[in-house]
Amino acid sequence: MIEKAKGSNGLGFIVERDEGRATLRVRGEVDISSADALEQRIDQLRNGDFAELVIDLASVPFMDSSGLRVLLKAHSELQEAGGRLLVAQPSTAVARLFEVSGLDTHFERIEEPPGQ
Amino acid sequence: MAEDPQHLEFRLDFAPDARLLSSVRLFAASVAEQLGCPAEEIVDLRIAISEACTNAVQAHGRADVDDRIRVVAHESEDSIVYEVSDSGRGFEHGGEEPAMAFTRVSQDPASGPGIGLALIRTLFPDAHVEPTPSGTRVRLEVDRHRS
Repeated sequence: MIEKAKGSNGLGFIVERDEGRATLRVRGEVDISSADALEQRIDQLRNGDFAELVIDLASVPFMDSSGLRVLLKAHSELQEAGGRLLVAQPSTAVARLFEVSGLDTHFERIEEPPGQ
Repeated sequence: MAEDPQHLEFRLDFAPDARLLSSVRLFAASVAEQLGCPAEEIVDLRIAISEACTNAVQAHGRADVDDRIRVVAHESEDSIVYEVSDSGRGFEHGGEEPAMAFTRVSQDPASGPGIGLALIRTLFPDAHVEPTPSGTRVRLEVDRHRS
């Protein structure tokens, strides 16, 4: 099911749950106008008792430091709670963002999320 | 900058509204694409323009200024110079000093305009961030030809 986030420049989410792991497929550009919606959606999932959260970025053609902040925060909060944040399928632009911010090894990568 | 009939100049004025950033990136990228910039340069440009314009929108918000933010692209033989000018007072007037804010990307995810400026300078090491009478101007140059 595709969820449309309200007032967020049309960011969309698909969530898949699979014992202990949630996969959040994000669709749309993540910038300062949509980062809050992403943060809220991740927070909801973090409260759902998942040890692993996969953020699938295949359909995110653009992200800037606003999105990076959200991912960094989620990453450290999950780690503190004994969980893991994994990043799947970053697009060229998102991979470049990770690279230039020195964070390309900071986020654990998962090549192909299950159920694809 | 004086009128130069040899080279194109593109200008976009936009209200300080974050919802417009997507269109501003599209503007900057399509100018670069039309003028033959390599695809990798355009990836970097979109990030840098987004960061510069985000800082500008936020500066206008903090200063409670509704004036338009201006993005200008000047064509030259080998490059395109982009300038983002805001009227949001800026670091000279009590905002965060960019040089201090520079290298904290991974240390402090919550830091303010610092991440954006750090990214701009990583992507475009020659980028200038300078105060103007009303705010801040960010200037960066994109190569038109593969180096």
